Amino acid sequence: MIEVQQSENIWGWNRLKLFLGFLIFILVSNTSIFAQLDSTSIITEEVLDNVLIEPDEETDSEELVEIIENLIRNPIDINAVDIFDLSKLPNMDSQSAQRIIEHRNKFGYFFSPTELFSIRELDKQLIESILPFIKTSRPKDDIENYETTSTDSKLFFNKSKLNIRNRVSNDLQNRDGFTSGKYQGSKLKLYNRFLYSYDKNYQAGVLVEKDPGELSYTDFTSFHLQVKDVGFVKNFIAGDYVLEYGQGLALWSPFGFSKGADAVFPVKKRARYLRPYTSAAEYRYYRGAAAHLSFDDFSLTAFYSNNTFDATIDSVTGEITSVGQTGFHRFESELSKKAASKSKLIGGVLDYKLQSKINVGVIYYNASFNNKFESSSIYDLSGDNFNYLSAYYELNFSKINLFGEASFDGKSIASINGIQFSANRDLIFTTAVRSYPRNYINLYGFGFSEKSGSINNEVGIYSGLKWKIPFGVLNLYYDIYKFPYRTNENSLSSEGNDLLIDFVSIPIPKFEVRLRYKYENKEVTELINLNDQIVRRLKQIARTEFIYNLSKFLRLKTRIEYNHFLIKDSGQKENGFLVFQDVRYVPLKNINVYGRIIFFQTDSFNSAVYEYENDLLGVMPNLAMYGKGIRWYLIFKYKPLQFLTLSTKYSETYKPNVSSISSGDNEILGNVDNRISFQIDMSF
Amino acid sequence: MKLLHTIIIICLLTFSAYSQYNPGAKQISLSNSDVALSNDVFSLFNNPAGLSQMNWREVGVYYSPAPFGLSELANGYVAYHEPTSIGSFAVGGMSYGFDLYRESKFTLGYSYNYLNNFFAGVTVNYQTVSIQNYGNDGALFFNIGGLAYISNNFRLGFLIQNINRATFGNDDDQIPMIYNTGVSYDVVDVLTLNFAIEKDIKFKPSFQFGINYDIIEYLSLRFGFSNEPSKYSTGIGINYSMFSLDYAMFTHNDLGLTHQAGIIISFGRELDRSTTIRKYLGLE
Repeated sequence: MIEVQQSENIWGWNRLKLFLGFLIFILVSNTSIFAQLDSTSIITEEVLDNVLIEPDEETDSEELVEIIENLIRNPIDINAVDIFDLSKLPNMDSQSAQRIIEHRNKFGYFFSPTELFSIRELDKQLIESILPFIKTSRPKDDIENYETTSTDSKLFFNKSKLNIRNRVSNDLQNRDGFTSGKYQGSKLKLYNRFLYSYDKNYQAGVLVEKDPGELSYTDFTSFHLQVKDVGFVKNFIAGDYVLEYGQGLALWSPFGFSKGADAVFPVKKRARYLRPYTSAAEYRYYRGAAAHLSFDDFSLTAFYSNNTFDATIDSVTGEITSVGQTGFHRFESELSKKAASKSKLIGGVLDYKLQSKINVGVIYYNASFNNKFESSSIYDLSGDNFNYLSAYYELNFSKINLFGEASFDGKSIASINGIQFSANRDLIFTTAVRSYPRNYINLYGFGFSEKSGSINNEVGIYSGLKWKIPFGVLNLYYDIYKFPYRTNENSLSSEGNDLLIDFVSIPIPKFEVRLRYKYENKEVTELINLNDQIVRRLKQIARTEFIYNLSKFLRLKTRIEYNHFLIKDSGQKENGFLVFQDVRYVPLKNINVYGRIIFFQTDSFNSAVYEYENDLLGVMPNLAMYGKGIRWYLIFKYKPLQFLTLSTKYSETYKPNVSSISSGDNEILGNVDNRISFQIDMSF
Repeated sequence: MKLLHTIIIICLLTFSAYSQYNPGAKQISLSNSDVALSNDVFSLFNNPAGLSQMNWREVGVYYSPAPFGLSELANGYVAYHEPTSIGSFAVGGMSYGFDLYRESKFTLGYSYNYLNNFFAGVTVNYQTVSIQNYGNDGALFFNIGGLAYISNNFRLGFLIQNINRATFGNDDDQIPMIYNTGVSYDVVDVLTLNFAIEKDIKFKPSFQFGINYDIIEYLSLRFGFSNEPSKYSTGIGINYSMFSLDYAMFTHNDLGLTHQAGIIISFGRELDRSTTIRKYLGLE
């Protein structure tokens, strides 16, 4: 029997006011103005939507967003770029890149990016999708005229560009770590980044970050100075940087694309060479100096880094027992890990390009640590000094593109070799074979693999197909892999395979239908009859999505997703279901409104449904929806002045009939988990 | 007698999910799969967005005398729709229960026609419950809906009920929060297929399907089914001049058949319902 009272529910009222405000806003705002909207976040969202699949873990994906945002900030000059760099753009295959270069060689420089539409052999959709990432440099004469007519001081301000990003987010509920007094700091999460660039050639950056629960407001700080394209110095960085070369077996940034909705894109790594470190992941970046020098077809990169890292050190032996990757320093034992050991890195990369046919390179580096690694029984990691020698290649023959890398760590060789075959404009096929021995020690790599970037104890064959058929685009991949030696999870060798079918069609103008089926069959360890057994786990996901662009101002998106989780041997059989309604509304010039409401129901965490969601610029969380409940959020992005963008997000997860959400230090007593964030972006 | 009443009250509460079937004999005969159709005055309760598809005034009355054979569960609805140059307005009400337990609802709706291909609607509902000897309570909640014409004969619709999660008393979720989305497709002008998915925050998703066939100008045949709870539904509509008389029934595995009927009076509509809408939206 319900209890009946006269009083109004207070929470109901507050939510009601919020919705009223939103509704009034929607109804009042007029739609008659032609908006020139701030499109960075929309482009980023759409590119990543086509490339990513929600991984089975909660992530922030800041780095992947940063890759796309960086491309928008620093578009590629199609009048200067070579085929290898051009084919690194999202959606770009090497055959299309070749056509663009051929056109340039034949008819001279492009006057504007839209001139690409005159190349008949290029796919129109492809051109549209790369337009935000390319530019055409002006002919030299123009620049000289411009320089003589401007005064020096004006020039200085014209050439200076300052980008500031400040973000604050705050959980409105108290998590256990805070109520119990375990965490020393406040709940706020703060992020501040300053990027100053002068004349396209010089850049300086500072980043300061604090995670929730951390005491120090400068818990993580990062800085860099960069010089670009001055004489033969292609790039020079002092401060924090990352390196990406070859296929990532020896050197890569801490994050990269894994198997995703685009079956071809993530397989061949798109090395970005030397880059300033602009992320707040607090993990595996280099601090020191590096230079990338270019002499015609040859280029040489030399780097030196001497950096601290988080680690647990055994107080008796002085050996490293584990390396911290989270960057959290919220209480005593986490703080004691902070910067507990030091690593030194010294090395170089020699890269050679022969016309647009061949790109080969050799990487060598030495990494040494202040403390020895404790011998691990599984992967033979021990010692404090490591040497790496790696060779990579990429070869272009009209329709065939070959790529690969082999890396030697002193004990064993890890390798990946792949082929990309463009049968015609509409069909691209790729296949790659990877072989990562169990005792290959992966210190600074991020390879293409089943276990997000890890490069050991795995052999696998991946095949993918991207096919434009008259009524849509089909992406299909199949991946078979085996972990030949025991892993942390399984005490014996294990194996698995994945299949993805993703079909996008626009059956009616402006109306897009996306169908996806994913199947994963993997061996896992389960406790059955008090014995650990390796058994087959089957996960299937089916998704239907409707995206409807009603007008320039309004887009609706509906998703229905169902998943099935099955372990036959233990009789575990679960289902998960999610449905959401998403709206993107651009009511006025430079106002974007995003809203989404999600209803979900899953049998447990095993059958959780993951969803990427929009967030403030630079963030894209992937969240697990499990149990029974709803989640909704609203985002406003407002650009009142040319140099200023304000944005805010409110999100709320509500689960009926539960007394707590999450667990451990993250546990919230109650059935609501809500958060509010603000961000200011300024660019002068 | 007291025992009987207690049993009935328990039934009312247990089956509140069933009793919350939105009104309209047509809607029920389509197993409430019509979120993307929503072309009569009872759209006020189903998907208010659909109201501004209609450029005529309309009034409707609906009554379900004894759901599952229990006259104590009787419920009735009335609704009125007024199109204006700034959008469609509608007002309606509901009464449910009997002297010991009664719920009533007052609903105000507004729907906006955006470029003749998208319709957005919102309703403000004030619902009260009174239980004899216990007292009474009221709650204000909002529904929002959308309806989009993807092409001339294909529509997409959605509705979120109780978006502010209002409730009665101290217990959460006494008024359910429900999301419903679906498509509606006119195979030919006289035959419409409807498919929808409904997710109540507390219950499993329900898949709903319904067919509406205007066999002749004066007669519509309807059929539908859904799972969670599993049921079949069927009904007929008699359309004569400004009157539409609808009858519907549906099955319940344990509780048998339920009958309901309604009448809708349209003012100023000269052609049949779907033709008038097509003409108004310029879809021919």
